[in-house]
This record gives sequence, structure tokens and C-alpha cells, in this order.
Amino acid sequence: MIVGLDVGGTTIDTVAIENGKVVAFKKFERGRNLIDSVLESLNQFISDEMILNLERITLSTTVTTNAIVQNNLDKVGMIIENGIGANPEFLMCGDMNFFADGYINNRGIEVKPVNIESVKSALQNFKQEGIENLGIVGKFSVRNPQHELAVYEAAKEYNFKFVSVGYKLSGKLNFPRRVFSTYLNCAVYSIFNMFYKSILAFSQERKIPLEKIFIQKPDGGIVNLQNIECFPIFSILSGPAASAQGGFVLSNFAKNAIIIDIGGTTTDIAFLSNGNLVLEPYGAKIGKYPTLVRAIYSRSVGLGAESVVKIVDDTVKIGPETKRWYEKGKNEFITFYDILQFSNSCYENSINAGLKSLSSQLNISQENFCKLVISRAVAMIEEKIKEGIEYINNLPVYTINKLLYGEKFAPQKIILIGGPAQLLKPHLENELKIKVEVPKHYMVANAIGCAIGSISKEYNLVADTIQGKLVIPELNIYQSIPADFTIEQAKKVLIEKVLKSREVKNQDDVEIVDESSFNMIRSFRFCGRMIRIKAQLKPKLLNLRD
Amino acid sequence: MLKAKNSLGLILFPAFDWRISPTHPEREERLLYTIDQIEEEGLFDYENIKIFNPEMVASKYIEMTHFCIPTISSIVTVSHKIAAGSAITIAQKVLSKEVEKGFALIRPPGHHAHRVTYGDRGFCIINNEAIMVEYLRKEYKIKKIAIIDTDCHHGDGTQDIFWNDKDVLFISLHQDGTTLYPGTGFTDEIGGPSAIGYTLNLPLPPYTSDEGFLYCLDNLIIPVLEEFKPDIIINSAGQDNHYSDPLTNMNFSAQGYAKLTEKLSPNISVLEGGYSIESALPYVNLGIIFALAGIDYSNIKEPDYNPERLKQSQRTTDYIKRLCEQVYSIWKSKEEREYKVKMVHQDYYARKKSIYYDTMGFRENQLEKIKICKKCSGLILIDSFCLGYRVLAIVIPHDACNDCQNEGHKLFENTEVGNYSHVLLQDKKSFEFFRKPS
Repeated sequence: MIVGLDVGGTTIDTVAIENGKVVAFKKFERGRNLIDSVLESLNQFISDEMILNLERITLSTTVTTNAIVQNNLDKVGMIIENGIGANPEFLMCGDMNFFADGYINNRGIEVKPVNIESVKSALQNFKQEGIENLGIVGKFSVRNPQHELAVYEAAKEYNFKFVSVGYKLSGKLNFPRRVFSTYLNCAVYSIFNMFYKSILAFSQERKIPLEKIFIQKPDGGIVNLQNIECFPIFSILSGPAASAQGGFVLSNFAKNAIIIDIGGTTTDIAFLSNGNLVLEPYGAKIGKYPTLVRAIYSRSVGLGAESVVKIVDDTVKIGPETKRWYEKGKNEFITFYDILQFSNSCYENSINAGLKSLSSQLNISQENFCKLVISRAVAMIEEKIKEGIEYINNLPVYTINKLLYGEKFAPQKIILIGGPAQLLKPHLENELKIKVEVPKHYMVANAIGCAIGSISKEYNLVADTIQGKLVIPELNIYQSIPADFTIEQAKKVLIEKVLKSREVKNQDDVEIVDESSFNMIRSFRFCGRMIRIKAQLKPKLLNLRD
Repeated sequence: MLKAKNSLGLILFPAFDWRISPTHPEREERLLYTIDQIEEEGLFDYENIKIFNPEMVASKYIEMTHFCIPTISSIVTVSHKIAAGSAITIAQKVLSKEVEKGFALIRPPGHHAHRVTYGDRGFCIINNEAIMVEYLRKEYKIKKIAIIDTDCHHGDGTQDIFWNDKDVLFISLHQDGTTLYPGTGFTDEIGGPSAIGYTLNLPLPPYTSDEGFLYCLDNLIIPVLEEFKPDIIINSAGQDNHYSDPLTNMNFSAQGYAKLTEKLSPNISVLEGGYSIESALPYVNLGIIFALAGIDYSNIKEPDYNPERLKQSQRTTDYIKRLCEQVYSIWKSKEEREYKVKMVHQDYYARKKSIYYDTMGFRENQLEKIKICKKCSGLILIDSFCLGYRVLAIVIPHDACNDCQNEGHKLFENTEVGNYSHVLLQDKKSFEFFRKPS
């Protein structure tokens, strides 16, 4: 049995899946204390029988995301080696920042050694100011982490509580994002640790081994709770990933589609291109920071069932303010859900007064008012869909072959999930003139998406035969290679190393997604090869049978 | 999100799957480290720096710029078509005001491609900037255009195409032709009879450094631009003046390129040459991008940058000062010079050209005749021999008077194919192209 739990803006959704079938699901009201709510929901939902044949529990939580949004963060000291490029002031994200002297170039060659003495005095300062979490980031550190590691070694004698080095977070190039990701990874440490400890206590109390507890990542993959302790940042923004994945499996693995999840507070839109969920090219944006945290590309609209409908300056405004049904009382208000119900002839007396008042302000009938609200809402969704399609079709293309023969993304249908999906379906279909499918279990699709996730990861190999070096930052591999090393050998090494890391069992689960080999010419002579390979674990999403 | 001062559109088309030959300097790896540097710098994250994908250029724009012999399809590669298409795409993004400035980082380059082209010269087959100019004139009715060529090699192809075109001011700064390919670009090359002074060449001595380039900018280029008042400024941004370039002998640095770009403030830059792919391109390109976007570039320096070592000699400084004075006096006296030329050549102005195709190892011989016309810049007739072909190419300029236009068409109609392998007519005025045999 697999249990999935998804924390939404309004509810906590749980689902249990056995033999590819949804055997139980429940929505819990989300309380004030998030960690308590999660534990309570888990405790209530997971019966002792479930534990007997439990395969895993996957949690998609917003604990760390909330901490960032509410600025409930740890103090962080940052050691940043900026090297050559933009002026680094904008990178000062830490509570204390130190710019170290030194530079590694784009091929991973040390141009100037890092000045460890000055770093040490900065570390001393950090400690004196009571900073316990330390982030270390260097430019081009994924090509050669030598400087980051030297600083890491130096930091040992200062006994920081939590230290994070940039190159371990992602193998992708993007220095500012590496700096921000490392900072955030440090900044959410305490809050995540609190969550971690609560889950640990829960697992001990209910006798569930910790190996069976997983966290959903924002790229839709899952990671064991034990493995994420040093990377709390990977627990952020899992909500959109859960819904995208839920929509994907529930619609029987469509090829080109848009997945729309309409929840209580927001509507999340994700994109399926060529049978794969589209990912952010670099990573998620968290709060104000762009990061290297691998994530499903999704657009969010501040529109949900509980969005309050208002009239501002003679025009209809929906959301982002939300109100729950039980808040109805003295102050009459109308939510988007009310409008959907009214226009789908589920006539409700209780909303009549509010609706009458709003429509009379615009001097139109209640029916026309509802039409107006819905077409406004559809337009809000449509705008984000267009934005997404344009974005995907404009992703950089670097080869003639891809430019000439690469396919343009054109979705064939919308997969609509979330509470009000049935009510919204006819309107989307009519106004956008595209097939809209509402799959079974649309109410708890995100919890399903969370439950069925599989381990996901990306690996970037760079081999430089002039230097005789090969790097795979994600696996912490830096090794020597012979001068006649080829792309075929590189692929073999990468797959071997991934298998050895025990993240997958089967060679077929590793997929090479990008490969290139450049002849390096110096003084008109061939002198080596620059080989680049990107691989990922093939997502193995569970097939649902009903 | 980060925001730059100016919105900037970039086209990055490294053509990772195209090369001339396995060890050629114009190769797949050329823009690899630049793209690495741009990615690591996080440039894609600036909210007003936008990346666009290029499209292939339509044959029509090639036809209206070049006479491709024997045909477009037989000599122009897909990669060249994409590079020219990139120039058009970036122009379109700037002219439609989607972005304020644009930079196409593309390969292969184009500024050695002449009006008549038989194939590859200096890695160029078709001229990216010249094709862009045809597009700008046709689609946006742009009149006055300035092309500033800062590649280390003389932009002889661009000079050839706009030789007799007063609406296009062409200024080339380059290592002098006695020491570098293509061996042209001297101060006495100043344009055809109707556009005298609208081609200006600044041949610079080897080992000219930042100081010399910026002197030319301050003392010649900017004053001339202020007087010319172009509607648009295009920079043929070759990066082989860099001190580490393997093909040239200059001492320009990334800081110098950035300063030059900032002062020139072109609307559109198009990458030309530059073959120090590891030590120069990542830093120079970054410097240019930062300067175009108005981002502080003071921290962009090559790892081995040493301004003292790169300093130019006093002799070079003195020479450049005299050079700028001389060229400026050409600009100032252009009307007088035009009058004199037209007095001497009352009917047709003719020049003989011998053009060497270095990449392919053959030579083209040309006789170019420009009609002296009182009402327009004049009909152009080119008789070209190369590779066993004999071509008559007729150009009706975009500002042609009715008489010249009619004369061009008549000549095309009345010329027997028998004497020529190709009879071709470019009617730039009505944007039409004709060929015999069809």
C-alpha cells in the first residue's frame, strides 16, 4: 500500500493506493499549526491495518515554502567566490556575506587560488555574530568544487550547526541561482529539522520504518526523508508537482496536454509535452529567489473556489482574497464557487442576496453577471496557458537539427482536476475550444500524484580530455580520464556511476537526454574533446487501474 | 528578479552541429564557452533580457542582397541561412520595440560576403548585416542606417554592397590590410560616385590597444554619427581584436569592447569573427551584453588581463591621431569630392576588382560600372568571371529614378543568355529579382 498526503492551501488531502487502485481517500481541514495538522491527518488516516502492508508514505508539504513566504528563516552566513562577471552586490542574500578572492574558470581550471586566510577571519566574524548556518558557493564550482571544499574544510574548526556547499545542490550552471539555492537551503534548516523530528517521532510511535517515508520534490520525484536531511530545500513547492503528476497519471499518460488544478485558493497550470511534464529550465523560483531546485514548470493564478468575487471600479474582480463557506454570516460575500454553482443551475438560495447586489451594481441580470465572472476567470487561466506555451516554444535551441526538426508544443487537451473541476469543465471547453477531460478521483488528484511519484534526478557529466578530467557533480565524482576518452565511454561511465549510487537498480531506468562532443582545437590542431552528457532517471509512475 | 537598465534581446545560435572542417577555427566549439559563461552568469534570469530563437532567412532577402552563383541552394548552407535569419529576427524584435537593443550571437559570420558571391570567403557566404538592411528597408521603411564594423578584419563584403549607397554609412575599424586578410580597407576606399565619404576606413596598426580604439570612437566615429544622424546603428561586432586572438595581432580587451559598445550604443549588434574561443569570447561577449543592457561591467576582466602589458606605443597613438584627422577631413569634404568625381566620370564610373576566395582557393574578376545619374544613385552593372561562369548582374538601387529603373529592365531583356552563364537583375526599388536562364 502507498499512502500520499498533500498539503494544500485549504485542505490536507490523503489517499491510499493498493495494487494500482485507490482504496481510501479523505480530505482534512487544514489547521493553524501546519506540522500538527499534517501529523493529525496522518494519524487519523493511517490505520494499523494499513501499516501492515505499507510500502511507503509520501508527503508533499508546504512547511518550508511557508517558512520562506513568512520569512521565518534561520540566520545564514555566506562565503561567496564571485570571480569574473557581474558586480556581486545583488548576491548578498545572507545575513552576513563575505566575498572571497579566487577564481575557477568555465572549464574548471583554477585561475586564482581561494584566499583561505581572509575566509577564516570572515568565519570568525560570522560566529561572533551568532550565525550558526553557513553557505559556501563558488563560480563554476560544478566544474571543479576544489575551492568550495577548501572553505568547507576550513569551516570545520568553527563548528557551524549546518553547512551547505553549492555544487552539491545541482550540476547546472547558474551562479546566482546556486548562491540563492545554497542560502535558502541553510535558511530553512531549523524549520525543516522541526518537521523532520516530528515525522521521526510519528514513525517511531506508529512503528513505521523511516525508510518508508518519502518527501515529494518540486520536480514530481520523491526522496527518502533520511536522504533529504542535508537538502531541506528540495521539500519546497511540491504542491504544483503533485497536482501535475496526479493529472498526468489519471488521464492515462497523455502526450501533449495542459494540466489544470483548480483548488481553493489558486489554480495551477502545468504542461505535458511529448509525454513528459515540462520542467523549469534551471529551477524553481522560491519567494523572490530564482534557484537551481529542479521543478515542474507551472504557472499559478490567484483564482480558486474560495476566491471572493467583487466589483471594483465597475469591473469584476475575482480573488486573490479568499473566504471559507463557514465565514459566511453577517457579511454576505460571493465566492467563485458560488458563481459556478449558480450558473450550472445548482441554484442556491443562500447566495441569492449577494449575487443580486453585485449584479445590480453593474445593472445586469444575475445570469449575465455569472457569465461575466466566469469568462473573466477563464481569461485569467487562458492568459497563463498562453504564457506557458509561448515560453516552452521559445526555450533556446542550440543546434541546426533541433531548430529545423524540433517540434513545436501544441496541446491536444486539458486535464482538469481539483474540487470544482466538474463545474468549470463546460466553461473551459466552450470558451477555449479545446477538449477538457475531468478524470475519476479528480478531487484528490494531487494526493494521488504525490503517492505515485518515483525517484527522480538529473546528472550532468562533463569530460575534458585536455585536462584529463571528468566531473559528475550530482554524484560527487571527479576523476581522471585518458586523452583518447570518447563520448561512448563517457556514457558508459555515467550509467555505471548512477547504478553504483544505488538510486536505481536497472540500467534501463537511466535515460540519456542530451549529449554532445566538441573537438577542441588549439593553434589549428586537434588537442582533445569536450564531452557533455545529461542523464535523468526515467520517471516510473505507477499505473492506476481504475 | 534582476532587471537591466535597457531591455535586451539575444539570439544565441552556436550551431553546435555545424563546422567547415574538423580543425577549422570557425568550429562547433566556438561559442560553447561563451554560452557557459552566460549561463553561469545567470543572464537568462534578468527579466528584461530575452532570448529568441532564430528562423531561417527567406530566399527573397538573400536574392535582394546577393547574386549567388550558380544558385542560392548550391552555395548557401543551412547554417548560413540561420545566421542571416537571426539577424532579421533580432532586427524585428528591436524595430517592433519588443526590446530596446539586440545582439545576435551567431555563427558563421558574414561581413566578407560581397554582392556577387560564389562561396566561402573568410568563413562568410552571405552577409548577415546586409541582408538585415534589406529587410529593415522593406519592412520598416528605415532610411538612414549606420554600420560600424569593429571586426579586426576589414568588412570588405559590407563595403562592397553599400559602396554606392548614401543611405548606408559604413565605417570599418580593422588591422591594416598590409598585415591582415583580406588586404583591403585603406583610407582611400571612400565609396562610389554617388556615395563618396559614406564609406570610411580606419586601418589600425598591429598592437593597437583599448586607448586607440576608444580614440577612434571619440574622435571620428561618434562625431560622424552625430552629423549623419542615422535612424539605426548596427554594429558588426567582430571580437578578433582581442589580445589573445590567434588570427590577428591587436591588443583590445574585454573592458575595451564593453566601453566601445557603451559609447557607440548600437541598436543592434551582430557577431562576426573572433577565434580566441576560450580566453576572449566568454569575457568579451559578456562585456558587450552587459554594456548593451546597461549593466555594470567593471568586474568583467579576462583572468590574465594586464593593461600595462597591453599598452600601445606612442608611435601608434600619434599615427591614430593623424588617421582620424585624415578620415574626418574625407567626411567633411565628401560633397566636393563627389562633385569632382562626377565631373571626371560623366557617363559611367568603372572599377576593376579581383576578389580572392581564401577558404576555397579561387579568384573572381569583376568589372563594376556605376551610371552617373543626376536623379538617383545610379544603375549598377557588374560583369563577373569566376569558376568558368560569366555573370551579368544588374542592380537597380532602392532610390532609382524611373529612367535608371527602365534602363535596367531593358538591359536585362535585351541581353542574350548565350554570352553569359547568368543574367541577373535585382530591382531593389520594386523589391523584385529576375534571372536568366529562369
